[in-house]
Amino acid sequence: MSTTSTKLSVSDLDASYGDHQVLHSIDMDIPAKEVTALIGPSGCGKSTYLRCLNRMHELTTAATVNGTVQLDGADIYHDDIDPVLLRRHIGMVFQKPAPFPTWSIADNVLAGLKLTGGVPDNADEIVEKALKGAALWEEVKDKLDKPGTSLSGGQQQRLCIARAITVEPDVLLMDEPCSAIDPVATARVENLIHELGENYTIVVVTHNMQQAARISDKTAFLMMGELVEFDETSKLFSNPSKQETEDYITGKFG
Amino acid sequence: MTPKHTVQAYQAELQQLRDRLEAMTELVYDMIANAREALKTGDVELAEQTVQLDHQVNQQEVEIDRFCLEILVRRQSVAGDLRFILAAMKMVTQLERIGDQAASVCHAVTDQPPGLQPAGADLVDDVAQAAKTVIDKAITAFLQEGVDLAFEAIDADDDVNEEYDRASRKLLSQMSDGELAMETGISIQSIAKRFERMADCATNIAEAIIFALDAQDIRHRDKLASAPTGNKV
Repeated sequence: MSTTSTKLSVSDLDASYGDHQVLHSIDMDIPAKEVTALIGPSGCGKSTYLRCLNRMHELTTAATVNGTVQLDGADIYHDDIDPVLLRRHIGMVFQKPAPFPTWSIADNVLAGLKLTGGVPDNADEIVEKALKGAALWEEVKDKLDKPGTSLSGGQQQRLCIARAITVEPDVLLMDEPCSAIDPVATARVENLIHELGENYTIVVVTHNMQQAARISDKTAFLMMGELVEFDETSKLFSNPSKQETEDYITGKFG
Repeated sequence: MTPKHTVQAYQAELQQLRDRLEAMTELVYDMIANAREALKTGDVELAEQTVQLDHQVNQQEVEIDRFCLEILVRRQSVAGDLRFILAAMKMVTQLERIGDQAASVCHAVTDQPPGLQPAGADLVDDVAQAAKTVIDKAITAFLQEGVDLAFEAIDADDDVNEEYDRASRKLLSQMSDGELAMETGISIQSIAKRFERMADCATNIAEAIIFALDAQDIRHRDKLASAPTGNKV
């Protein structure tokens, strides 16, 4: 059963690219061990917002962030926080699956450990556990030494999810994780997101509102860089509180 | 300006659903008026014509339900659109039931039990009038998208129940005194019940309209609020 405690607490968050302010004063408590979907029109800032949650936004030239993001009460933008180590706690899965092309499936799963401190003796166990967690084990258990890129797109995306959960993060951020894969692979990844939501805090950006309705416990609607509405998914899609939300999810224009 | 759907075909489908509901509503409304008229005048021909209309109502119920299903499959409707389509599916079920009740009144007219006109018809007319008020309010609430009117329809159902009780007492008294044959009295009672049931169906329509427009599910609200909570073993 999911908890209702807050994992990530976002307060008065602004984000900009140079002079262009993309996010305006976002306040949001993201619940632990639940799936939170971010929806909104193109350019509304949802991907930028996601990238602020593990300090990837600041990697872009001239990008700035103001406000606070707390992980279990600790400010992730504090000077003492190492962004690289932070990303072990707050992992990310991208739109297009991007396994390391020359690495084997097993090495791809272990990539996070290799890059942040080394692989322990029980590497085989870790690989099996992560691939099982990503619902990929049965399909790849006999070809772990084959390149990650030998897999289909959907399998590669689940491999990337396995890679992300190997380092046992607290939070998984997913940016349009199904937009580059076919409907069957999408169903598998959605199923996986649902299962992972039992143990991980997941924040997923999606253009597909039906997908948000299917996989998330809570949904946030952003428009022009502002958080318009954040509520239980069933409430937001059956009876949204704001007219802007109603117009967007029903596909209306003024 | 009310925002319109970006997908024009979707906008047109929702408008078509509304148009079809209005057409079905008009047909059922005609059936009620005809049933009342036939009951008052003993016009068997009008009663028979009205029974024929029930086939059209049944057909419309099936067609509108199927149309709703098609919209849901194609558009995966949400929010106000979803509530409207769900309410439409409930409305057609209730309209079909009202049509059945009107057809049953007409069947009673064609059976022509002795004493039905004018005395029997007069006895149930207050029930019919009270039921018409509920149906008028519910239908107007749908046409004008008026939540307040829908609530008024629900409140007005109490008047129908009172009129039905009054008519029942009068019938019982007349049957006890021998003024009215048992067979006729029971037939008239059954007709009064048909009008009372029509008002119940109209109340259900009003509830569906409130759900569609205001997202409030007020069905059985009082009973559920007073029901004991906790698991039964």
